[in-house]
Amino acid sequence: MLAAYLQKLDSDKTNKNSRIEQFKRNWYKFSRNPMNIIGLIIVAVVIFVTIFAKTLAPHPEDAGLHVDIMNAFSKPTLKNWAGTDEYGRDLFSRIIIGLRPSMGIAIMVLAISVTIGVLLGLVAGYYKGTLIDLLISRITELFMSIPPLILAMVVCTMFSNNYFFAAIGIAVAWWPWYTRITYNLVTSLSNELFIVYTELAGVKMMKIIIREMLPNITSSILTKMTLDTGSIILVASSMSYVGLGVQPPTPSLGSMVSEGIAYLPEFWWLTVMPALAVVVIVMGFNLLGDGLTDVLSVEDK
Amino acid sequence: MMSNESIIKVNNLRKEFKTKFGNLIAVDGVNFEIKQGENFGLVGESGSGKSTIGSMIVGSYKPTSGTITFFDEDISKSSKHRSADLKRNIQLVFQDPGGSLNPRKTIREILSVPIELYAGKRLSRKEIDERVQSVLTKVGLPLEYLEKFPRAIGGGEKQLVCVARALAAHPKFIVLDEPTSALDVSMQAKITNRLIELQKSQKLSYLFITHNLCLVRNMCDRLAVMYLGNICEYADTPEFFKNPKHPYTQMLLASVPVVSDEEESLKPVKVKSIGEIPSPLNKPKGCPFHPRCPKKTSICMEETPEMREVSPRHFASCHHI
Repeated sequence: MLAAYLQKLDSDKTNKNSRIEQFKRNWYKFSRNPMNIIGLIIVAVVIFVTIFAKTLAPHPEDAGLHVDIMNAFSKPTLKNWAGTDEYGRDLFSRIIIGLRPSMGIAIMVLAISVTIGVLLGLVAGYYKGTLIDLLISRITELFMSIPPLILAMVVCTMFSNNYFFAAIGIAVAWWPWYTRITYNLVTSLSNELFIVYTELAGVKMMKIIIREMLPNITSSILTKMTLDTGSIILVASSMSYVGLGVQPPTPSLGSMVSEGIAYLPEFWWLTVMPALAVVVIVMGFNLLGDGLTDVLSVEDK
Repeated sequence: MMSNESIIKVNNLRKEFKTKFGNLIAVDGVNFEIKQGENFGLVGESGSGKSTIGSMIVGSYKPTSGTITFFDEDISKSSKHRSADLKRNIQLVFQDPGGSLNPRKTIREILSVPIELYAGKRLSRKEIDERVQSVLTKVGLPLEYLEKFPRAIGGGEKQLVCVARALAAHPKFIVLDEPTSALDVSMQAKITNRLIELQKSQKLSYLFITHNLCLVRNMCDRLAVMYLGNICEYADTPEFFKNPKHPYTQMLLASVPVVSDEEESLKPVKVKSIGEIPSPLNKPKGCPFHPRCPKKTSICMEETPEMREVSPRHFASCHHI
């Protein structure tokens, strides 16, 4: 069935633009697996909710120091979908608003670590076997040998315990993985004949890296970024669970779980609801990442 | 067509690779020259060193010793140390057309690379487009291929794009490293015919590296047979196929599979093929072919035979001719 569809696409001469054609083809492959669609929907919803958190939250005032003792410890009801906490604040609103710092940290971490990681990976990979490669690779390994959570905690406690340094801390631990993946991609690419051709022809190094190599590694990097978003949210939540990063009263998913633990098992929703949110978000990004991996790895063949 | 001036001259060319298991002698003192406008075939089994020679001519490797000259210029150096004009004049077509085209670029983008690179000045978008279209037409591909990705076209068409990319540089000399061995038989004929046409219309010289004797017979003016890094026989194509002298060449010709019994009876000599090509890591002493040779005597194990002119313009290296 796939073969027939692809043939139809190939024979479709009216479709002049190859890039649109390629996108259509990839979308078809992606959409065949319902898990991929679920992942895409979750991610889309998470992004939408993050952007419009303040408008979407039924009780935006509950994000701060709002107290409504009469309503405290209410079970999940139609009015409060996820129940309320010890001050009577709506948990659902707090979870939605708590998404913001998590996503913000993920974006900051990715922006920093992808820039640094990919740049160093490209340079080290291109100069494979030289002193530059040796230096970059050893530094990368040094950072990789320390667990990211611990490294992030050290940075956070050394400088200042806030949202910004939490992101810096995670990024310090995260960039080596991008250097590693870029390095591996570049070194395997440099044996490819189309790169050998450009080298023999005398194309300048920067042009080879940017025009010939980069288009071949972006899909792998994007896939890794998607998969990593989930992991970073998890690390950020773990950090806020132990009180690093976002400070109360601003809600964050991790700190909500840790605060709720005191009330287990009676008021279970205080921990279960935010934890469930983390699980669903991480799962969404992983499903989407897996889907992208499938599509892009098939495309390369 | 063919002039007497030689375009490529290879003199006592030698290439050793250092490996974990010792020195690998890929090319061991090879001499030949290619005349301008000539199509020179280099035939041999895998591991005979034929591709290594091609790689040294285009500058992938620097020779261990010996020289390669292009007209009168010494080009025994790696491509990094070659002038842009030299790189432009010597182009290469690889064996694997799929791997030699960037999968993320359209045919237009792929063909623009040599055009922009060798233009010598900044070209406008329009000028580049015109030149891209003209080379694609030269190899006989329709213009709608420009927007396609390599994945969307067939193996033979990819190889034509590779040829177009080589032509885009306006070279004088093209090394064709087994350009058809990855293709279907029907496509092979199409590509070789196209290559011959282009050679005539663009005044090119080829070094055609292959293990396929039938192709050589149809394409090449002259050919050399390689065995374990040495040339063992070297002659004009008609003479070579009529009158093969070296025992290895005879064995090679006898082992070509044929379609019918009539064809089988047309083979010049009948020799049974024995053994396989030894590893170039432990090359036999004396004549490299002696372990497989039906005519071997004690001298073959002691002395390496010299290249001799056995009949006019026909050279072979064997003690027993």
